[in-house]
Amino acid sequence: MNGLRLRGVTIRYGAGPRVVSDVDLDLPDGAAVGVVGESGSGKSTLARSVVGMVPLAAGEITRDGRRLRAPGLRRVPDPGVQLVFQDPHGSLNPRMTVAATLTEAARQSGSPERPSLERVGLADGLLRRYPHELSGGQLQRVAIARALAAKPKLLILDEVTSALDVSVQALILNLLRDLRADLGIGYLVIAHDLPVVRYLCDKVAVMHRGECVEQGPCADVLRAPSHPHTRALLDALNEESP
Amino acid sequence: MRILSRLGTMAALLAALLVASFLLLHLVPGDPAVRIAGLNATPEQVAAVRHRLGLDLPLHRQFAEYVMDGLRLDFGRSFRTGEPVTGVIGGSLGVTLRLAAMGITLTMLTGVALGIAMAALTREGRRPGVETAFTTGTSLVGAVPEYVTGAVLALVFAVGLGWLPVAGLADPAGLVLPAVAVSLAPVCVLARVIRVETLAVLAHDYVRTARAKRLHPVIVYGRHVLPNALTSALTVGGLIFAGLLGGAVVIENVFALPGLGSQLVQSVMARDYPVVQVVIMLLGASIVVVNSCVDGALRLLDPRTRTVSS
Amino acid sequence: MTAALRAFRSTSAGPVALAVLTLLAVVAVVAPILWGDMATALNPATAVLGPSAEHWLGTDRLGRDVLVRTLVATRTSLGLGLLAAAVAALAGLLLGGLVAVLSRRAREVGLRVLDAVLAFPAILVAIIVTLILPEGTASAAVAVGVAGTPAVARIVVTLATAVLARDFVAAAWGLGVGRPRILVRYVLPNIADSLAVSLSVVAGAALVVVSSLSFLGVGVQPPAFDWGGMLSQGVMDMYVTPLAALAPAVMIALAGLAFGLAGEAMARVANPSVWTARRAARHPAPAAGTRTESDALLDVKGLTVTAGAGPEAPAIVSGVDLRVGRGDIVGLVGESGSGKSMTMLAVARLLPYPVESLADALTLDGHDLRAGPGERIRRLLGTRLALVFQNPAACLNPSLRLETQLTEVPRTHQGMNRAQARELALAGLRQVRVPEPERRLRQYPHELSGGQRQRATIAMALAGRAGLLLADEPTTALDNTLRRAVLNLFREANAASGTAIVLVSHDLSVVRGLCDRVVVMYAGRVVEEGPTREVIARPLHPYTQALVGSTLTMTTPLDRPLPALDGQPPRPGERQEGCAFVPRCARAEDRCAKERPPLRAHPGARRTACWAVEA
Repeated sequence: MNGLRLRGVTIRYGAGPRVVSDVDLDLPDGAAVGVVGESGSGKSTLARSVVGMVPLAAGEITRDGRRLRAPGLRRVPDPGVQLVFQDPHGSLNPRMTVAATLTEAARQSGSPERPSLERVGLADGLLRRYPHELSGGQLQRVAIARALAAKPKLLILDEVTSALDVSVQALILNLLRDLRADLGIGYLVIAHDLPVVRYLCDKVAVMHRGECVEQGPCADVLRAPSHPHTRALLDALNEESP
Repeated sequence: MRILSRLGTMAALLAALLVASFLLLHLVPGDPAVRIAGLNATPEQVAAVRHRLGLDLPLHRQFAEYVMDGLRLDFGRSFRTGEPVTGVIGGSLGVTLRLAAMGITLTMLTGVALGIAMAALTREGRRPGVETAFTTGTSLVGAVPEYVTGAVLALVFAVGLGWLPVAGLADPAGLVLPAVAVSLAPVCVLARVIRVETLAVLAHDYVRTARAKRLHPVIVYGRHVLPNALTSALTVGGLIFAGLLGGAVVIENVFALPGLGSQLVQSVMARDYPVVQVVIMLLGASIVVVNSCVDGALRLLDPRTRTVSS
Repeated sequence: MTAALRAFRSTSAGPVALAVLTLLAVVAVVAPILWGDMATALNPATAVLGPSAEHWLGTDRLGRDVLVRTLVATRTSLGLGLLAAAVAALAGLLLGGLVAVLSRRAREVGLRVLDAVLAFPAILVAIIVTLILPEGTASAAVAVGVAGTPAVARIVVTLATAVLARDFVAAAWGLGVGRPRILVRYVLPNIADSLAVSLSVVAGAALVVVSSLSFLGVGVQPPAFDWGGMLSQGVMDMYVTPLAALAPAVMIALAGLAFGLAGEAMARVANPSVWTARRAARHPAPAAGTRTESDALLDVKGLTVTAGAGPEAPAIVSGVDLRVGRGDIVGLVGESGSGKSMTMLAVARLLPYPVESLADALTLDGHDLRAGPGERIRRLLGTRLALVFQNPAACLNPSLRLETQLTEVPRTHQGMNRAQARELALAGLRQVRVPEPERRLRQYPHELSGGQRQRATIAMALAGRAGLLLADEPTTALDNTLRRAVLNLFREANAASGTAIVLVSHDLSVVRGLCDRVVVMYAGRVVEEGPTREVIARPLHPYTQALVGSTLTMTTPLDRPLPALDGQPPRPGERQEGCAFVPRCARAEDRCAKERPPLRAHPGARRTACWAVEA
């Protein structure tokens, strides 16, 4: 299969309890899969393990059939998978201009040209700015542009809109939908907010206490949840919007 | 379990200290036996010295003897005076510890009070003038080495005003000036740390909540802020004690107090290694013990590190 | 470069430190050339003299001019201090860099060793190191450098590991940026400012410690001399010629201080983003108004909040009216910077410095809150008004038992004794369904689960039988399940004891679930208000429309883009004559830019401020 494949992924910190326990997940090229769950359910840790920031205790992660992460495997970055972080203020080097950040990313992927800001809906005038001179929404778009510079097959979006105001959230969500339509890249969307996952993804996986308790097409899972925990998550939403 | 691991760390540090003080004699350039016997000594005299001090034994045997003698409180004889080291050092540990204890008490009380008061005055960027004055003042005073402070204090209060004795052990007041001299710079350091720490505590939601309860400011600061700011005071307290001990080494020489510091300096200048070794052991052990106590106190003070009670 | 130089000069300490350091450098170069012989020439005839026209600072025991010697000693003292600092910096950077890039376990061992060594005072280590170095002037400096190495290494490790854990380093690594380049491009620039401060403090300290060694007699040996050595001689004759001791002492302090200040100034140049905050002067509190009769629980009229004092201070909130009846639940909605939180803090009289507020009316239970902080107002605010901040669990003080925190208000303001207040607290905990309330009261916050902490906080807020609960984004930091639990608690408190609630949030879906009425703020003004259900179903103001449209729900259509709102709201200083929403508004007309639309009534108890909406 082409794409990302997680098999039996288990993560623990030191001798502590399992943070992620035996998770299987398939992300064919171009698919958008959401992982939802409460804070502490292990969804962010799972995302970080894909890009090698957290080592696996058991299981393996492969991409296009190539072993990417496994216990004891040397951690090597894979430009084909890029992570976009929740906090846009922390994810850009405060001592590099936007231009320098993007040039660096392009250089790493061997592309002679700096990715354009227009692609993410920003004016080129921002190129000479430093991160502290930009708003949260602008920073998040720069971070997306940087991730795209590596020409990834898959973007991991770790709560990318939850630190932003509602009106800015909508802009980023629209941008992400456009990018996927134009570039055909896949998304792994980590979110605690079900509507975000519903808006961006075709498939959804529900995590609870480190385990993946349910997965399937968004429409099915959200219409007829089979696991009580998924039902609880949906009920929480319905109660807010009677 | 935790106490055991603390004790283990303490023992390891003391052992390291023992090895370091032992190795000191061997790290000194040249043959220690030649140094001790003197440059004019005949080879026979040097050999005799070497044998008397056990320097002709293999290193591990020497170390074993060093440790065994130490356990019997036999630290050999001073090269300088020929007296047993225990007699030379005598009560100097007590002098130094008394000075350091007075100094740390003074530092903690003044530094914490000053830091919290300054944080209260300058919170949220209030009174920028006061903040500048405080920062400049503390860095000014903090930059003055303790022996300078000591000299100036002696000049003003003992010689000029005649309020206090210059120094001396006959009168407990004799330790006042040296104690003030060693505390002045640490007070500045501590007050700055506490101010920053208190400002951070003040920004927490639980302090905003306490203020929203309209408690009296004394309660807000005394009950809600102080315990949280105190944790950091204690964390640096161990380091400050070590610094004070270093300061005491110097200041004893200013006020001619017969403490470990005076002993150390005289022995170093005379290359009187047995005395140096013991002084290092004593000073080092005090630091190790105090730091372990601070660790323990921190655990007691901060409920988060305490084990969950029933 | 020139910009950096300008920044250096514009910091208050910068120019002074720069001037002192330059002066010291010049003296260090020039003095030994000019007066080198004079400083060492012995003249018993002029021994131990006080200040005179010939010898400004007097002479020492051997008849040498104190001033000349002090100046000549600058070269040795500074040189040795810098040599010591260089040794410490170089060795410390190498050692620290090495420890920082080790694997996590090895790094922890390295750190413990460093900490153990660091526990010993530098002066002590330096004295001992002099023993094992060959005798000589440079030895003292090297010994001090060795003694300072662990401190520098520790600083490097602490700073570097903090930066290495940041997201942008992970992002760079994910792109394939190599380790050396990460150290050079990502870590070093981000620690450079802190490192500069630390190194210059180390330099100042090194200078002092070298002097201390000389003072003790184990540093610079005669006939060479530095300030420390001069001082030790000066102290002996202190009662006769105090200046002989004072002159070198002042120089040591001055040089030590100059290094420290220069470091701080350098840090500011390296990182301009941290010192741009403007300070505003304080202005007198608004005068106490007359007692207003009002049947509302909270009545705010014409509230203006400014960042600082005076008519020029930028307005964060302008002319806001807010009425909350007993038992009402009102939502206050807007994006960050809309002034909603400041409105809330102004009501609670808890505005941060230097923010100031003015209001035509501000009453709680009919009492004018604008009157000074008298005992009556304190008690009123303490009992009738409760606040819950963004993360409710963080409102509990980690070092106090729950009992202390939950009984404070009734004991302080309602004159209850300990047992009565305890009973009240227990009832409160039971009301929010915290299990085993008796045991909880004896516990510290960290012993409770996250959910229990949320509940305890709300019980604490309601302990004084608050009439009005102000909640600032109380669910933003929480996930859906906890969010629902908190909102349920609010709803229960409202139903059980008629507590009125003002919920401040940027999230319409939270407000929709809880509030009867919603007030929408934009750029410091109310732009729309009305019953929540109607406002969300049929928003009038274009901003509310955008806000409602861009809020994702489980029924948002998936086949078209979300209605989004481009651009930024104006900042407090940039607000114009007309409607603040004009630059982002699709329906803006000429009139909107010139004339500010007033808040006008609409059918169905609604109000909005927009010219495009027919009254």
